[in-house]
Amino acid sequence: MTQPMRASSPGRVRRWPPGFVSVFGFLPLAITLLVALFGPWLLTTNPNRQDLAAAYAPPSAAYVLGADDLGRSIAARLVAGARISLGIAVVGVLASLATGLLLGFISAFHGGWVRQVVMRLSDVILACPSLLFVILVSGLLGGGIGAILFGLWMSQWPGFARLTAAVASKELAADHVEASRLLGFRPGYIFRAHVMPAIMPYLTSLGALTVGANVLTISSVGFLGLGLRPPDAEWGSMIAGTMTYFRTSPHMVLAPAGAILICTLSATVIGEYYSARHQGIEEIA
Amino acid sequence: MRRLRGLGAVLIGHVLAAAGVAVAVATLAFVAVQMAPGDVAFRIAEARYGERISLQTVDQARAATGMDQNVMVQYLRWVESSLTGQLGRSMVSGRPVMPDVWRSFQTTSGVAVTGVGLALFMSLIIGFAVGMQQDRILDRAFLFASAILSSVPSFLIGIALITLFAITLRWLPAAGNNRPGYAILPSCTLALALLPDLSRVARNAVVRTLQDFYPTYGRIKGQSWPRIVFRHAFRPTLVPIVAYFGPLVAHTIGGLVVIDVLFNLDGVGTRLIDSVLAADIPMAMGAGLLIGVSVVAVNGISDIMVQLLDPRLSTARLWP
Repeated sequence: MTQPMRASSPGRVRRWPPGFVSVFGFLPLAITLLVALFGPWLLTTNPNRQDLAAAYAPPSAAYVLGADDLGRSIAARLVAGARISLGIAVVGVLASLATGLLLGFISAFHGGWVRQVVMRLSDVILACPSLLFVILVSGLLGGGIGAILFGLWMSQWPGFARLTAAVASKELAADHVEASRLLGFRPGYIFRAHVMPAIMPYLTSLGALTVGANVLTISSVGFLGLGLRPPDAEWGSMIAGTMTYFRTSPHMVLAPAGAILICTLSATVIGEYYSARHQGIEEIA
Repeated sequence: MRRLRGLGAVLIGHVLAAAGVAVAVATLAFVAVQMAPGDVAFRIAEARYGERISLQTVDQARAATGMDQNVMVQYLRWVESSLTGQLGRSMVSGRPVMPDVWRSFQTTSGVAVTGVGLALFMSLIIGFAVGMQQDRILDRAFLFASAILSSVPSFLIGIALITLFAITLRWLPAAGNNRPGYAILPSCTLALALLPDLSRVARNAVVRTLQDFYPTYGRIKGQSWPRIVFRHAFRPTLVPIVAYFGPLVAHTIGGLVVIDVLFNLDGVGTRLIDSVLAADIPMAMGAGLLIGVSVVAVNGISDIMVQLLDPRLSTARLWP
C-alpha cells in the first residue's frame, strides 16, 4: 500500500481490565481442552447409551444437562464431542502453524521464485472459504476425523505462511540479523534467535483466532452431516439432530450451542488481546 | 490516461486469473474424484438406480459415462469440453449440467446479493455511529457485542430466526424456495453472519480516517462534523471496506452452503455437496467452477473499485 504512514493503528491501545484474558480467555479454553483430553475416562455414562424413558428430559440430578430425543445424556455427549469439536480445531491449528512457519520462513529467507510460488499459492487458497475445503475433502474421502483435519490443514497453512513471511522478511532485513548472517550463523539459528521472538505474539494471536474459526467450521461440517458417522457425538451434529425440538425442549440445542460459543469466544478473547498489544497485526495478516 | 492504463492492466490480470482458476478447479476436481476411495462408477450407479444393483449395471454406468477409458483421455476430454463451455451432462440424472447449475446459482445469488447488501448497509451505519464515538461506552458495547455475535455459528442464527419468525409467529416460510418471501430469512441469516466482521472493518475504517489530518483541519476551518464526515471522510472510509470484499465473499460462500442446507434451498451449496457425495464429476465441477469464477470476479471488482476510490493506489496486482 502506498498510503501515507500512520502514526498508529485505530485508537489508543485499549486497556484491558486486569485478569480479563486469564478469566475469560485462557481459563475456559484450558478447562475445555482438559475435558477433551481426559473427559472420556471420567465419564460415568456411555454417551451413546439410550434410555428412551428419559427422552426429552430437562436438566435434573440424573441428567445434569438433560437428555436428548433418544434419551442419551447430553452432558456425556458434550464431553465426548469435545475431542472432535475442540481437539481437532487445536490440532488443525498446530499442524497449519508448523507448515506455515516452515514455508513462510523458507520463502522469506530464499526470496525470489520460492517466495513467489508460496505466496501465489497462498493467495489462491486464501480466496476459498475453509468450510468449502473441508466439505470437499470430507466428501471425497468419505468423511471422518482425518478428512476434517486434512481440509482444515490444507486451507489454513497459507495464513500462517504469509504472516511468517511478512514478519520474517522484515526481521531479516535488520542490521543485527545481517550481522549474524555474515558471522556465519546458519538459517536455523537465525530463525530461532531472531525471527521466532519477533513472530511469537503474531502467531499466538492468529493461532487463537484460528482455533475459534475452526470450532465454528467443524461444527458447521457436523451440522451438514459430513463429519462423523451418526452415533458418535459432535457439537454441531448434536444441534442438527435436535433442532426440530428447539421450541419444546430448548436445552437440547442450547447446551451444545453454549459449548461452541464458550470455546469460540474465549479463543477470540485471547486472539484479540495479543493483537491489541501488538499493533498493526491486521495489516500484516 | 495513466489511470486508465492501470485499470486495463488490472482487468487483464483478473481475466487471466479467472481462466487460471477455472483450469485449476477443473484439474483439482478431476484429480480428487480419481483419488476418491471406491469405484466411482459404482457410486454413480448407486445414485442413479438405488442400492440394489448388479455388477452389470455398474459396468453399463461405467461405459455410459466414459469411465472405462484411459485416465488421460478422460482428463483431456474434460478440459476440452470445459474450455468450450460445454460442462457436459450430469452422471446421475443424465441432464445437461449448465441449466441446473445456473438455476441454483440464481437462487443463491438472489440470497447472497440481498444478504450482503443488507450487511453492508447496516455496517456503514453502525461503523459511522460507533467509529465517531471511539473508546466511549457505545464503542465498547459494540466491540463486545460483535465479538459475541461472531462466535455464534451461522446455522444457530438461522435456527433462531426460523423458530421466531416461521414457527412461533408464522410470518415467513421456514424452508424451500417456491413460496413468496422465501429469501427473507436466508438473507437475514447471511446478513447477521457477516455483520460482526464487516461492521468492525467499517468501524476501524472510520476511526482511521478521522485520525488523519484533514478532519482536524476541517474542524479548524470551522466546518461542521456532518460536513466533514459525509463530504470528506466518506470516500476514504469506503476503501478498506471495499478492499475487504475478498475475504467477505469467502465468508459469504461458506455461510451460503450452510444456509442452503438449513433452509432447504436449491442453491449452489446444496448442489455442490450433493454432487460431491454422489461423485458426480461434471456437476461438482460445474458448481465449483461457478463459485471459483464468482470469487475471482468479486475480487476483480473490488480491486477496480478501490483504485477508482483512491487513485493513489494504482499499483496493478496481477493476482486476485
